[in-house]
Amino acid sequence: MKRPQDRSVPEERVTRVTEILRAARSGDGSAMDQLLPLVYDELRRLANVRSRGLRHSIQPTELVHEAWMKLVRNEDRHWQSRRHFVNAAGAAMRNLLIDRARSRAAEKHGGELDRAPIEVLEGQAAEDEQSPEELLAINAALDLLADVDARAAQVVTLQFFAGFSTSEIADALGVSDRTVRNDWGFARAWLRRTLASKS
Amino acid sequence: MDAPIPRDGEIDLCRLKELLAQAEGLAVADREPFLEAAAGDSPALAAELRSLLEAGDGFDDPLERPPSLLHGERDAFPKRIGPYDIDGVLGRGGMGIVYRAINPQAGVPVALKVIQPGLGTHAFMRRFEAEREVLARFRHRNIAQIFDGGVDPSGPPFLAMELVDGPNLLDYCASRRASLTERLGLFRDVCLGVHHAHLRGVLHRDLKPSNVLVAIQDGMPVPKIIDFGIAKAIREEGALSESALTRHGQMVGTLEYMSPEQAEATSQDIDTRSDVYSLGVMLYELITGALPFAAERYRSGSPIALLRMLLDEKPVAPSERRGTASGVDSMPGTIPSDLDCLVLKCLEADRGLRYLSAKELADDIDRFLTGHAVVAKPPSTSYLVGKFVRRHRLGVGAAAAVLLTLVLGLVGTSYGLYREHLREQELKTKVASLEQALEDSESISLYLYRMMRMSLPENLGPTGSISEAIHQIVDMAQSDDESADFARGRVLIHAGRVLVDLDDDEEAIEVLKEGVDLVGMPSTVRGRFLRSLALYDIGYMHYERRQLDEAEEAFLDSGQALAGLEDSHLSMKIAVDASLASVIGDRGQYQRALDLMDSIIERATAAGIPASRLGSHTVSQGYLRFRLGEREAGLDNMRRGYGLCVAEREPKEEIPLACQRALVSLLLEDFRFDEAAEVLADYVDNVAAGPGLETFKGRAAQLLSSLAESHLQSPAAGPGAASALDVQLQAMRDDFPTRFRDSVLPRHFLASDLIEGRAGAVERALAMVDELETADGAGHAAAVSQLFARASLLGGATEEASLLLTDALERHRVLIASESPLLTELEALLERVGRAQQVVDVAPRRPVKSGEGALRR
Repeated sequence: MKRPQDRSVPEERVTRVTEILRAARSGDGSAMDQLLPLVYDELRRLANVRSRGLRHSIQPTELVHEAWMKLVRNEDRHWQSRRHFVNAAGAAMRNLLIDRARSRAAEKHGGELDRAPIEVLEGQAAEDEQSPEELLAINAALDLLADVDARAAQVVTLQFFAGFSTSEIADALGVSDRTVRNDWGFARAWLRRTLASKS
Repeated sequence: MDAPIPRDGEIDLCRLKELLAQAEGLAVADREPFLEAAAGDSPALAAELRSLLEAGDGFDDPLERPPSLLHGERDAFPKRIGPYDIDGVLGRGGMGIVYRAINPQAGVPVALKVIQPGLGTHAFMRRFEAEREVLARFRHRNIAQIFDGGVDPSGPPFLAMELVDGPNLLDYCASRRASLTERLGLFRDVCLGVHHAHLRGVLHRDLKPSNVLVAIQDGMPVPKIIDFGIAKAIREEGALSESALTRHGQMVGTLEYMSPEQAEATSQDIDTRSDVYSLGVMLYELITGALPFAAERYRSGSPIALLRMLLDEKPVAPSERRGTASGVDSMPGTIPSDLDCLVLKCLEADRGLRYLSAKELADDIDRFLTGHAVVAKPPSTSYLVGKFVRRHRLGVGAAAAVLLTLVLGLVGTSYGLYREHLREQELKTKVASLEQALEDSESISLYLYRMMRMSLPENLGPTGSISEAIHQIVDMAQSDDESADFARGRVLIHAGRVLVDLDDDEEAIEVLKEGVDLVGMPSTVRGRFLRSLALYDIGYMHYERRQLDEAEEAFLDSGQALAGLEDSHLSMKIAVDASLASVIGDRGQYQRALDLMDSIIERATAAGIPASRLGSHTVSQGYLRFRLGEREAGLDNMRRGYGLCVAEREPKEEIPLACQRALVSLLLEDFRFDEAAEVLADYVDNVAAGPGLETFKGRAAQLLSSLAESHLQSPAAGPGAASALDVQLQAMRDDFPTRFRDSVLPRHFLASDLIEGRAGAVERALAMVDELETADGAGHAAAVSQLFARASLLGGATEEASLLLTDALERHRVLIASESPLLTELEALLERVGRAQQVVDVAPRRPVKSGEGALRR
């Protein structure tokens, strides 16, 4: 069957993603683990392409939606695929943001010399940007929360890190909007308590 | 997914969350009594709640500010590459880093693009070389010039380009508060640069303001296009056309500036007009300070929603948008309507309506600047009629929708025939096939055994549905490496055909294709027939999705599988060929399709099949004749074909109904309203007598509305159209409430808009909403209001849209939680409409109507 060949993401990668999503749909639990690195790579690339010449910050949601368009395209409109993708994209985006926070934190504390004059290039760093240390603390606390309530931790990953909406998350986790809102409220209070006790 | 039931001493998380949510909504003073009352029976729960609530006081919400990706990755950069000294980083791209550098000998600063370390694979090198070759062919003052390229013996390959030291086009104009004439002059130069590249077979594909920088040369601003990094040669021939060169994970295009054909991710069919669209978005932004659609709408929806927006919605005219956009830029003066037309012509969703080339656009700008009439003229009456049809094309369009229904109907006819053939065959061969199953290979028996075991309760999946069982069978057959390919293929084909019946088309296509591959071209009659069946199903599903290439190929293969077997399977062969003819006809190759149809009828007649069995094919023949210009003869064929059909079958059956539908459509197209109305009335009666399938009723209503719309386009528009609309409304609202609401009402509104003028249409709409509220409740009425508002917006009536939106919003508010995305969306829309309206002269308001949920008029 003829299929268009020239696309922005290599065909093998898209085929691979489609295969994995299909495996995931038929209940292959390890499929998620295989999906994660592919989504992660794509998000990273998109983030790098986008960070050129931009004067405003890039919202994770944009990248996640773009990655969905690129990796899955219209070939797999199965709602279950969307579910698996959302979960993988949430985890991948969290990894990406945490990786960056780690390297930024390392730089601040005497990283290598001879760096690009990034501040000049990127203009004003947003004042209300979270500091990398804050973000890393939230990340660590979130791991603790996962032991108490894994679903609430997942809600935070999807909403806070990847910017998915309440209804997208409800859909991905197979619960109601209300449950997602309650999980979020609980996670927020729990994290606040944990972070407050550490500071 | 719910939390497990708590053991003794553990806290019920679910309840905890519920109470926490409620307590957070209370004032601090009210919390303690609430906790006492709600969690008094569980001290542990109460204590945990208190702890969570107290820990919150005085501390920031840690989740208040979601992280963003402000910073790119930071790498150290080298001091020297080739003959260049590196000054700093200018930017980063998918394939490398761009440095600011200087050649100490020449003393000229350049932009040095360097392939990213670690990415120097063969494919990348080729792409890099290709880009260099493309850029080297450009010599234009509005394109950043390439100077030099090479490989540093000790490092990565690099490309030295003209360093454009200046702001981007938007920033430049904003900072100088450039006049309209200045802006257009600069923009025109950009068009000429793009055209230069187009002439050399290169599309830019990512035109946007940040890719156009303004340099000052000899005291004059000169825009320079940069970043042909994702350019791809459009020439068919030549060293640079290899598509693989632009394949590697690059972002091709930026959503906001992307043409609809680019946004459609599966499309590779992009040409110079796609760049013209992007230029149009830039021009829009350049003169209004805003994007054609609200910025957040590019990001918030699904890809499908984005595509629908680009295809269905018309941007607000620049002159209306002007000044309403939040003031990024304030250009002095106003925007004349000629310029509106010019910009909107670039932004047509149908690229056939855009400027053909960037040069045409530049020329029209010149004409505008010199006070001549532009090519993109204000709409004339005939243009408006055309537009009326066009803006309805997805749900309402007379011509397109009718054609689609028609041809689907014809394939449906063949499909019906083929199903019938199957039933006959199945009866004949039932006994034989049971025997066959018994003596067939060991593996088939094994599948039978597995399928039977699957009905045991412990083997059923979570939902216990048939579809799940079928998927299990499919998985089994796919991963089975012991059985023979032929056996596995047969299992997959049978499973795939059940999936077709379950409407799981995507999965079905995949499974059937795999099955077809596995069975190959069998030597047995039965095997060939099975292959043909599977391919027929595949073709039909592709056809339904308008994938005509794939459909044609599948139907051809299906016919091929039957070659030589026609004696025993003639009616199947006829069904396959008739479907093939429909596909070919649908691609506009009417003569080829007609030849095929003629030969089908000839063969069938020669084989002794009575003419009465060929009624639907005679109708198809007539349709194709009509399309080839033999209108009278074609209609005669169709009338006769329908007569043959009903000699053989009840008029309420699927096939005669499809034939009648086709006849009505073409009668309408030929402006034979009286006969069309007569046949249509008969059709509606037949549908009513039939099994009452929703699709038939839907199609009946669609035809009625086509009748009304055809009336509208004829010189005698008026009473005939209005009465057809009323019949349609009556037919739909009784039988088909959902579709009535979703598609008929807005259509009706638009049509009465044309017949009675806008004020009359709005009156009618409001009366209907009130009536619906009494009959069906507020939710229904709110949804209808919203639809009307959308219809009004499409028609360009902002004031009415605003009234109707307000109404929808008020009705929804009563029903929906306040943070519902629907409300937010409506509010945003209303705000947008409101802003657009402020600059428009406000028409006198109608008197206020009292009552809950009523309009503020």
